Amino acid sequence: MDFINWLYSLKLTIGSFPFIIQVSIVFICLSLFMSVFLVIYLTIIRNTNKIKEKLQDNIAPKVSQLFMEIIHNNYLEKEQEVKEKFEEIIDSDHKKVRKNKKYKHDLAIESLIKIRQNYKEESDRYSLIIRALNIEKYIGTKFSKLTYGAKKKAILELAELGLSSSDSRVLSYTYSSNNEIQTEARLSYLSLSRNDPYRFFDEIKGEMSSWSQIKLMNLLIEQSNTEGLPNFGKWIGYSKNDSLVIFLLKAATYFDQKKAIGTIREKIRSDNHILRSEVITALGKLKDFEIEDHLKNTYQNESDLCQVSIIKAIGYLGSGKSLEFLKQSFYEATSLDIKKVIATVIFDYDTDGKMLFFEMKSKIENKVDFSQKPLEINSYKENLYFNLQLFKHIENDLILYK
Amino acid sequence: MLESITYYYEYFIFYYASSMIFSYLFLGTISIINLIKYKSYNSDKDDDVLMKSPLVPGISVIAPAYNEEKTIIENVKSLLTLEYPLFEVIIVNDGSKDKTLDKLIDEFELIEVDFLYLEKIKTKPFKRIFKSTNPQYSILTVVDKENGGTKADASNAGINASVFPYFLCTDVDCVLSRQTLLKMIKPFLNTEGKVIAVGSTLRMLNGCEVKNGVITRVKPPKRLIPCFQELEYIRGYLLSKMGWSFINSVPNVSGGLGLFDKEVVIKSGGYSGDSHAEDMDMTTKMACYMMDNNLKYRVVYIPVSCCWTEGPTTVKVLGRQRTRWGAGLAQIFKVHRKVLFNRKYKKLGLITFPYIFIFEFLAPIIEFVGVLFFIYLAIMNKINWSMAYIIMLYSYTFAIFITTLVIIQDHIVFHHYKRTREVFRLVLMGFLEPLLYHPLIVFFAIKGYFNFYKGKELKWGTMTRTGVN
Repeated sequence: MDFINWLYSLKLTIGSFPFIIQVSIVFICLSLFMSVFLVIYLTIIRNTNKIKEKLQDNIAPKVSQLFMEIIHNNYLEKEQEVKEKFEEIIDSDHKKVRKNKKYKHDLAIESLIKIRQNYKEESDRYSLIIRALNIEKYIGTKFSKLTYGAKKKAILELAELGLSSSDSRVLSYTYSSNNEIQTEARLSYLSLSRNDPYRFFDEIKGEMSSWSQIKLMNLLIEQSNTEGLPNFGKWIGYSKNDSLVIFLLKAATYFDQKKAIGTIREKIRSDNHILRSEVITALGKLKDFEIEDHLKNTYQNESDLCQVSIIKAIGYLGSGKSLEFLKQSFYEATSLDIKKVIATVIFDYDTDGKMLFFEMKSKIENKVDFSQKPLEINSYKENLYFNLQLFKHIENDLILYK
Repeated sequence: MLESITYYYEYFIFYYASSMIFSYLFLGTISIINLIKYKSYNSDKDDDVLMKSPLVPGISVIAPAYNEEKTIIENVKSLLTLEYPLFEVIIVNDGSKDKTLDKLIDEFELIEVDFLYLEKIKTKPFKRIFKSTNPQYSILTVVDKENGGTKADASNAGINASVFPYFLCTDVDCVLSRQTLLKMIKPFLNTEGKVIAVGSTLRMLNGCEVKNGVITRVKPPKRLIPCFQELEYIRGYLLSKMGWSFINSVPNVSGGLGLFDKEVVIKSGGYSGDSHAEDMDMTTKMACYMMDNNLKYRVVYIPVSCCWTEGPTTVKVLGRQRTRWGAGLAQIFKVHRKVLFNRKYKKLGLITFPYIFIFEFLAPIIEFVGVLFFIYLAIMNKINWSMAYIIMLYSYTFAIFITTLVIIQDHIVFHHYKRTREVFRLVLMGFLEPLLYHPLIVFFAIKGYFNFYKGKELKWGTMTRTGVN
């Protein structure tokens, strides 16, 4: 009763204070309450983390060892045995771990993924562990969570475990409004599906982010080691999405798909100069010698970006027929950036290229004395100085990135 | 007359402090959303994806050095061990008067080379460029130039000598996490719209254990001043900058660590050679360039701690640093005054700049005047002490709440501190900070403003180093 009276009198006292003091008191109480709450929460998350660390340090190696034995040494045959052995290891440690299903399942998934990444060869023994520990079902529960992060993680886990049976579940997320989920789902579908995995090349809309390109390229590299890749020329030919075509050009070049040359060549008249520049580079790298004369003829009318690509493409082709063109282009170029590219290509061209390079360099050296750096801006002497500096820069082996 | 001034001033202070508190609450809320978003969509596995990729863009790491002979070798070695498939390290010796350059030449077997140095951004004359004859250090380039007086001028020389489309600007005395480049390039690759700069969290190196240029154990600093700074940094990065990043209004990417789009930097004129807040100046120039050309852009902050820097351990050194920062901030508002409250500069002109002006630039002045006014009232015996305590507690308890909140945020990102007592030491510092550290910061900021308006010459931000464990 006394306490209630005290509270009542406190209310009356506070009520008699000016408005700003009343606001301040409310905020003081809130701040104190929140601070105490956060300190308690901090203690909880630190404890949870300690448990996870223990799990990682003590149990994870044992779980990995068990899985390796099962996969590589055919240890244990029945699902029940696998489950019991796994539980035995988990039970050997922390109480809280035993109670928390989430920890042990995540641990099992993590261990399996690591083994799968380190030992590339396929084995049907993975599925024994996955069935025994009900892993697919556990991953499925993550899809019911509200956060996109959890869904993305689940999609990734399905792909990393190679659970092809879940491709239909992944398929449903390939049209997600969330870009991160959509990208992850499409990449995962590509690695999981046995039924037309590349169908998304037909459906990618809008700009492909560099991150998607990087992930997709890594996936293609992996797939090229295990199974064949399709001819990217098919999509390069008819896709209207320039960013996808640019990616596919890089992929066709990387995997040296000479059969795509014909389709790539058709794209050289594209209005998009970024795409055109990528086409030129691809044709150069794929050694399409027939295109060389066309490139030289169009050089003068091209944008700076495409001019650089043409020079580089001529370098990749290395036909031995374009030294005169390179020399002329060097003397006509006004930008030092383009001159640098041309001189580098001449230097790396062939023996004749090297000879021409040193000839051009000595011509400048004989013209002017460069014991002092010229100070006049845009003067003839300064031009020569920078040209000479450029030659010296390119021939210097110590400069790794020119 | 005096009575009514007192009355209105008291109310002004209350509403000013309250609006600052609400702005912190707002930033705190959006920073938590941003942090959770970052945690959901990013993982360490992404680092492996980048390491394996043949498509990653190259990065030039640029670190200006001025009189750094004590630490230069270890720090350059640390930079050379960064994990990334394609990068170069450019050290710019800004006319050091000590043996910085000699030490570099001896240790890394450097020789002068004929390098095509194109001055895309104007700097003080560049003298020569060195490359290593040891293939182990083939990615290292050392630029030697005349002293330009500021870090900005040296950074510009580094940009001129760089070859890759992105550059990371850092201080040579910083210790970077090995995954720095992997973590910081990702927003450039995976954010809708053009990203022009990415920043990351900086922490105090004092107290940490470092081996061969790599942090082996993170601990909060033992001494008071760096420990307060640790708190200040966590708050500044995880709460403030993560919040600003969420609404794409980051005011500055820290000079200690920032990854930039080189093309945009060059087009916006590079760092201002005479700027002493070169980081904020650069970010503002880049943002203005994009908006002047009707180009959309993003400046992104990631919550991962990638950089550890040695903080001042004495009041004297802290004073030097903060006075310079204060002068730099004043310089920003003079140089970029056209941005303030200018609708043309959208969120930058109408939200970020006004916020920084009102709550960061003016705050020390308002606080200082408030203290003087308080002393006057005390002398005149016009203070209702019981009410005064409540008003003081209002700000004090809120400061403690914010400190606890950012420590939690820091834990959500990564558990840096091994021992619980280390974390609670930081919480405890939150109680002392408003009483011991904050008044110093206010004083040095005002000194900085004063120096700037008196036109006192500012030099490179040299800091007395005590070394780390």
